[in-house]
Amino acid sequence: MKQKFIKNALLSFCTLFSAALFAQQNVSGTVTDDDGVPLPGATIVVLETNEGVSTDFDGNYSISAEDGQTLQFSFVGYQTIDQLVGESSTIDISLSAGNALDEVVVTSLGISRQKRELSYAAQNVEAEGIDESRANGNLVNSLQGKVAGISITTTSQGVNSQSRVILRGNRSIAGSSQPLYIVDGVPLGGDIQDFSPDDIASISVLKGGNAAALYGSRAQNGAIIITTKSGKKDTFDVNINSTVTFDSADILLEFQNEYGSGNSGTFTTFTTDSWGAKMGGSKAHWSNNPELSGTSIPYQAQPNNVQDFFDTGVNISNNISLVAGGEKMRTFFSYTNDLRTGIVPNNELERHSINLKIDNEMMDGKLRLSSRVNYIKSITNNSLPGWESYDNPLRGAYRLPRNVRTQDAANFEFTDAAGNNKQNYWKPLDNGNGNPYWVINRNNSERVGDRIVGYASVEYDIMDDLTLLVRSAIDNRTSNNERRYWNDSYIIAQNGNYNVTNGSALEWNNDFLLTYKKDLTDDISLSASLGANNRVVKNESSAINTGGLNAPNVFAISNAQQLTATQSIGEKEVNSLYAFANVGYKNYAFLDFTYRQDTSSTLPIDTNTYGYYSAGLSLVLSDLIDLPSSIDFMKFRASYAEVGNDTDPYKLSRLADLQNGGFIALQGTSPASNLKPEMTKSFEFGLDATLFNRVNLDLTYYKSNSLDQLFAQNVPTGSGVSSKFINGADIENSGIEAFINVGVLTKGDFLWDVSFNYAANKSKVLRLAEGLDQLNYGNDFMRSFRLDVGMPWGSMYSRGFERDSQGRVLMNANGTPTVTSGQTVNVGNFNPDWIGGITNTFSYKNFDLRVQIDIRQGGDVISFTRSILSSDGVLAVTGIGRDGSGVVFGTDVYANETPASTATAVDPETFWTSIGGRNAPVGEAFTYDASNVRLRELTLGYSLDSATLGTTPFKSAKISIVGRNLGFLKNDSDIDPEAIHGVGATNDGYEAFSLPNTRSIGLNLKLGF
Amino acid sequence: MKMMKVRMNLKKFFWAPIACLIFVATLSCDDDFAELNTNPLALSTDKLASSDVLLGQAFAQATYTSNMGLHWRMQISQSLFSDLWSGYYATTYVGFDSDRFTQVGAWADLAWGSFYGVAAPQVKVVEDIATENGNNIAMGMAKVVKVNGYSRMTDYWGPVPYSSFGNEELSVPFDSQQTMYADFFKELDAASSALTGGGSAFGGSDLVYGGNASKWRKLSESMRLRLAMRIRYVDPATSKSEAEKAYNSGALITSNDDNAFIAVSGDNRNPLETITDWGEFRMSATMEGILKGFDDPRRMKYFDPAASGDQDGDGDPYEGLQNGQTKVYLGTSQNPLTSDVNVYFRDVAQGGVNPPLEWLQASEVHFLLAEAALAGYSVGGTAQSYYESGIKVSMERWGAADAAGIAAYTASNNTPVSFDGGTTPASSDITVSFNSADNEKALEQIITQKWIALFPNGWEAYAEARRTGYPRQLPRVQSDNPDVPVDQIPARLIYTSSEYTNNAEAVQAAVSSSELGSDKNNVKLWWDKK
Repeated sequence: MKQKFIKNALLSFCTLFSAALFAQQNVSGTVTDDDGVPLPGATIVVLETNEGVSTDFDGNYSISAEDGQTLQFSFVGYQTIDQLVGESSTIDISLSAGNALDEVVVTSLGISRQKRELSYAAQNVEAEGIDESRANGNLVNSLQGKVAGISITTTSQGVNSQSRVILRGNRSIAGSSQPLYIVDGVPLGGDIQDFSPDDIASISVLKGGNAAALYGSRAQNGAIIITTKSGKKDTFDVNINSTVTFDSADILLEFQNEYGSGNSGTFTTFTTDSWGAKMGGSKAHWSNNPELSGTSIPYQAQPNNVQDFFDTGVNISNNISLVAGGEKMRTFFSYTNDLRTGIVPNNELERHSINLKIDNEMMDGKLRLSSRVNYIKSITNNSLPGWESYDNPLRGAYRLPRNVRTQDAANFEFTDAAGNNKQNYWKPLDNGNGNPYWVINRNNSERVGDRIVGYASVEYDIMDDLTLLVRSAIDNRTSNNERRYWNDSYIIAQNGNYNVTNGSALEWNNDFLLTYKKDLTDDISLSASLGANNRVVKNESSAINTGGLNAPNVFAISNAQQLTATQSIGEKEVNSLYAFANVGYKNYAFLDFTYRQDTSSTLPIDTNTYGYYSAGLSLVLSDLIDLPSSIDFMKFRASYAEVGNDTDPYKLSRLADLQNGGFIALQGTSPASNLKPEMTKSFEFGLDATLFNRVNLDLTYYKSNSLDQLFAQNVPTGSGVSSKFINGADIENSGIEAFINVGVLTKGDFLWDVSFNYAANKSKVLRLAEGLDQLNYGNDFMRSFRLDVGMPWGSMYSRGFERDSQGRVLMNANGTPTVTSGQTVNVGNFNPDWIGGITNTFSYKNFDLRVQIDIRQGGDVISFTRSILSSDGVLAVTGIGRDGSGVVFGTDVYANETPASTATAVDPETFWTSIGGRNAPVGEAFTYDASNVRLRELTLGYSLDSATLGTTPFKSAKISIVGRNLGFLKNDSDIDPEAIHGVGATNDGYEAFSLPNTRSIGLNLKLGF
Repeated sequence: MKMMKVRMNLKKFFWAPIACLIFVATLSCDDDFAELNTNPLALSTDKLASSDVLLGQAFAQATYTSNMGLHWRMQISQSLFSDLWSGYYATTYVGFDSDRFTQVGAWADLAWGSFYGVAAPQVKVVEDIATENGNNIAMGMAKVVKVNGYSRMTDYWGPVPYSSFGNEELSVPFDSQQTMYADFFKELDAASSALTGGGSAFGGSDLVYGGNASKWRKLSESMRLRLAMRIRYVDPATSKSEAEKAYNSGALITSNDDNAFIAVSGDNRNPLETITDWGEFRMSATMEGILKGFDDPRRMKYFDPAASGDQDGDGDPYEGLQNGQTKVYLGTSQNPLTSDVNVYFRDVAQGGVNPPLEWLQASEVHFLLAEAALAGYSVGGTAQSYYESGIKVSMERWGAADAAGIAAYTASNNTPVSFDGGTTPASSDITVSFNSADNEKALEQIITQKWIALFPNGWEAYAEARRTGYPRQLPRVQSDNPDVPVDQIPARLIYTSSEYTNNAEAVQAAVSSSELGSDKNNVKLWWDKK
C-alpha cells in the first residue's frame, strides 16, 4: 500500500521532466550607481523564474533570460529597477541610491503602497525559497524566524498539522489571538496551511491593529497578506518545481533499559508499568493470544522499541505552472501535488491544488476584470490527536514497557477461538490503553477536505482620478471525516465503532471601494477611498456516532447499535462602511486616516453598530533635514488605531438543546444580553533607516490594550450556570521589534548577507472584571491555565511541592516530597522573553547557501508526557536507585531543590508514582525552561549558469539541498518545547504526547522552460 | 434569498455608480439580524414555559440525570466512590485508587458537576415553571426529584449549595446539612399535598410513573421515611415524627408494583450496561462471603460465575475480590478470576436487558419500617415482621425463590463465610433468622439484608453503611489514605477543587462550620452520630 504510494509519487516526479522547450538568450551588462561607479554584488533576478545572479567586482553580470521576461536589479540601499528583456542582449543599468524604502508593500484590501508612506510596521517576507524548503507542508511555517515578533508553534497532528501564529502577544480571552489571512485583498475564513508555496508571489506581515484597521475585528491581531502570482504580458513560461524530503524522528527522551514489566520489582505481564524485575533471561509472553500466552520470550532490554515505532516520512511535492499573457489578458495556472507520509506509520496526506488567475483589460485599460479560483483537495489519513488522547498512538508508543520487543508488539492482532479479531496486547481489555501498532492499524480516520478560495473583481476608471472596485470573494471549506474503531479497541464500542462528521465553513465577502487619487498641488498628493463590505459567515456541522456496531467491523451507519446524531450551526453577518485617506506632502510627509463602522448580527440591536478609527504619520527624515552622509535614508513613523470586535452567534439568550431520546437540556452559559463590542486600542512608532549603503534597519515600539472583551467566566456550578458572560478586561501587550539586514561582504563572486530579527513582547493583565482578579479558563489533570491581574498573560498553575518560608520542600516521612492538594502553584508561563532569528545568506558563483537559526528565550513548558512516563518507570531517571538503594529527593533527583528536613531514600516506584502519573500529577516537577535555539533551515542551491543552460532545453535550472529542523543548538528540556497539541489559547506551553522534533532533509529541483 | 439581494445590488451599481448609495443603505439594514442571530437548532427557555410537552421532556432529563444517568457520570460519581465504599464491588483496574481510599480530585469534581451542572439547573427550571404556571402536580413531582438529588449530594459532602442554588452569582453559599434536612421534609410536605387527590402530569415524559400523581405521593412519603431514618441518631424526635407521618400517610411504597424505577431507553440507557463493558469492577469479597454464607439465591441474579470458574474450591463459582488491592496484585488480570455483575445488567449485545435505574423500591421501605419499629416508633408492625416481609418483597422482585424457598431462607441460621476458604475470617456471625433478643444484632441483620436488597443502589448503601456501621465489611488490603485505616470507610468526600477555585469563600465557610471543622475524608457528617 505504502510502497505503491511512494512509487506513484516518484513516477509523477519523473514525468514532470519531459516538457516543451523555449528560446533562451544570454543577457549581460554592467550595473553602476548614478555616478557610473560599478556596483559589485548587485542582484539580478528573472522575476518569472526567480532565478538570480549577482554582479562581479566590476559590476558585470550575465544571466540567461527569455525575450519578454523581466529582470529585477536590486542592491541594498538602492532603488530597485525592473527591466523587460527585449531583443538586445546587453542591458546596462544604473541604480539610484537612497531609495530603498520605495519598496512596495501590499497592505490592507490588497492595496500596494510605497513603504515610505506607511505609518506602521509592515515586513515583507521574501517569497523566494519558500517553494524550496516547503516548511513541512504548511505554508505559514515558512515565516518561522523570518519576521520579527511572529511566534509560530506547530501542533502534533502529523502530516497536515495546523500551526498557532501569534503576533505581538496574546490578547483575546475568548476569541482568537491569531492574525487574519488576506489573499489578493480578500480575507480568508481559515488559514493558509494548505496553500501551495508555488503560487505565492509575496507575503507581507502587518503586525498590529494599526496596519489592519480597515479589516475590522479579526485584524486586531495583525494580518498576513499574501499576493499570489499572476500572468505576465507577452510571456509564455512553463516552470517545474519538484521537491522530495525525508523526515526522521528526533527523540530526545531518554529511557531506562534495566527493568521491565511489573511493579515492586516483580515481573508481571498484565501492566503498562516498567517497575518490574531487572531484565535478563526469559519470562512468560505477555500476549493474550492463547497460542502465545503459554510461551516464554526473552526478557531483555529493548533500547530501540520506541524509535522502532517511527518511520521515515517522505514528502514529495511537484508543481507545474504556466505564466502566460498577451496584450489584454494574462493568465497564471498552477497545479501542485503533495504526497506525504509521516513519521508515524499510516499517517498520510495527498493534496491537490489547482490555481487559475486571469486578468483582463478592456476599454483601453479603463475596465479591468480579474478573477482567481483556487481549488484545494486534501485527503489526510490517520491524523494524530496530538494530545493525551486514547486515540494517540504516541501515547502507547512512548509507554512501551522496556522489555517489549518491536516484532512482538508489531504483531498487533490475532483471531480467537470464536473467530473474533482481537488486539494482541500486554494489558488486554484495559480501558484507555492500547498496543500502539493496533492503534495505527485498527483505529483509523480519514479526512477529505475540499476548499475553494476565489474572487471576481471589476475595476473601472470612472474618471482619470476616480476608480471603482467591486469584488465578491469566497473561502468555502468542507470536510468529511470518518473514524473507524475495530472491535476490541479500548473504547466504549461493542464490535467496533464508526463516526462520521461532515462540516462546512463559508466566508463570503462582497465589497466595493471607490478611490480618488490626485496630486492637489505640486507638493500635496491625496488618495481617498470610500468602501463598504458585507461579510457572511456560516459554519455547519453534523456528526453521527454509531455507539457500537451490531455486526463486528462492518463500518456502516445502518450497522449502528446506539446511533447518536448531533448538529451545530453558526451564522453571522457583518455590514461595514469605511473610509480612508492618505495625504502626502512633498513626498516626505504622509498622513493617514481610516474610519470603519461595523454592524454585527451577533450583538444586541441597540449596540450592534460600532465605529473605530486609526491615524498615522510617516516622515522621511532624510528628505526633510540634512543627516550625516552615512545615513542614506531615515523615516520616522507613528500611528494609533482602534479595532472593534463582535462575538459569536447566539450568545444573547439562554438556550436548551434537544437531545437524542427526547430529552431537553439547558445549556450551561447564561445569556449575555448587555454585550458591548470588544475594542483593541494600539499605538506604535518606529524608525526605518538605511545606513552605509548596506545596513537596513527597521525598529518598532508598540503597545496595545484589548478592552471590553467578551468572555465566559466560570462561576460556581451552584449558581445554576457553569459560566457567565462578562464584558471586561484590559490585556496589555507592549514590546519592541527590530529587523536588521546587513550586506556584510561583497567580494567578486562572493556575497554574504545577514538578517537579524528580534522581538520582545511583554503582556500584562491589567484588569479582568469587577471583583475578579483571576480567571481560570482551561484546566485538566495536569494544569490549569489562568489569567491573574497584574501578571503576564497565561499563568500555568499545577500541583506543586509544599514549601516552608525559606522555599525548602517539606518532606513526608517516607522520603517523598509533600505536595499541594490543588493546582495552586504558579509553575510558569509559556510566553518567551524574546524571540529572534538569524539568517545568513551566502552566494558564490552558482552556489547559494542559506542558514537560518531561530531563538526563543524564556518561557516555560509543562510536560504531561514526562509525568506519565515517570510514573510508568520507563524514563532513564526512574532507573536511579532501583538496586535497592532508593532515591533521595534533592540529591539523586531534583538536585536543585532543598528538603526542609533530611530526605530519606525512598523506593523509586513510590517516589515517581507519587509525583507523576495521569490523574494527580505534580506539574511543578515536570515544568521546564522552554528556551531553545534551533537550526531551523539550511538550503544549499546550485543554479546552472547561462553558458551551460545554452546547451540545454531549459531557461533556468536550479537544484537545492534543503533541510529543516535539523537540530537544537540549545534545549533544556527533552521534548520539543514548541510542539503543542492545538491552536487554541489554552494549549500554549502544554506538551502531551506530542510528536518528537521532526528532522527533514531533501532535494529540490526547479526547471524553467 | 440573501444572496439574491446582494447580487442584484452588485449588478445595479456596476452600471450606475450612484447606486452605491443604495448598496450602502441595503447593507446597513439590519432588520433580519435578530432572526439571523437565533439558533434554529435549539429552544429558548420561554418556549419551555409555553408547552407542557417540552417541559415534560426537560423533566425527563432532570429525572434521569439527577439519578446519574449516563455511563461516565455514573462511574465517576457512584461506582468510584459509593459502590466501592459500600462494599458492593472491588475494582480490578490498577488506575482506580479510590478502592485504596484515595479520593481522586478530578473524579469528585465531575461527580459534583454531574449534579450541579447538569441536573440541578434542569430541576430548578422545571420546578420554577411548574410553580409559575400553577401546575401543582408537576411542581410536586419536581420537588420529589429535587429532594432526592440534593440528599445524595449532602450525604456525600455534608454542607452543599442548596437554598441559594441558581443565584447566578460569583459566590454561592452552602447550606448546613441540618437545615437542608429540615427543608427536605418541608418540601416533601408541599409535594405530598400537591400530589394528594390523584391526577397526572407529563404523561409519558414521566419516566417513573407515567404521570400518575398518586404514585408520586407514595414516592414522596417513602423518601420522607428514608430521610427520617437517616437522622435517627442526631435528631431522634424529628426522626420519629417524620417517620410516623410517613407511615400514617398510608401512602408508602410497600408493593413491588409501586417501585420507583426510572425507565430507560435505547438512547438513554442504564449506565451499568456500558460501564460493565469496561471490565473494571467485580463482586467484592464481603459480598461473596455474605451471599454464599446465607446461600442467598439473589447472588445468581446479581452476579455471574467467575469466567475461570470456582477459585477457592468451595464448589461455588461466584467469586469476590477483596477491596483495596495493591497495584502489583492487580498487575495480574483479576477479571477472569472473579464475578462480574449478572448479564441482566450488562450490554444488550451480550444479552443484557437495559433495566431501569434504581431509585426506591418496596423492600427498602419494609426494612426502614423494621428499623423504625426497632427504635420504638409507632409504625404498625414489629421489627421482625417488617424484616421478614422486606426479604420476601426483595426475593419476589428478583424472582429469586418461590414461597417455600423464601420461608426456608428467612428461617435459616446460615452466617456469612470466609471468602477465601478460611484464610480471612468471615465478616460477621449474624444469621438470616431474626434475632429479636439483641437490638444491635437485630439492627445489623436489618441493615445487612437491606444492603443486599438495595443492590445496585450504591448511594443508599454507602449512606446507611456510614450511619449504622453495617454490614460489617472485610478490611481493605491496603489504604493509601492516612485518615482512613483499612478497617474503616471514608465518612465523606473532600470538596472539589472546582469549588475551591470558583467558590472559595463559600467552601471555606462550610469547612470551618461546626458541622465539619476540616475538609477530610474522616470527618463525620451531621447525621453520622451513632
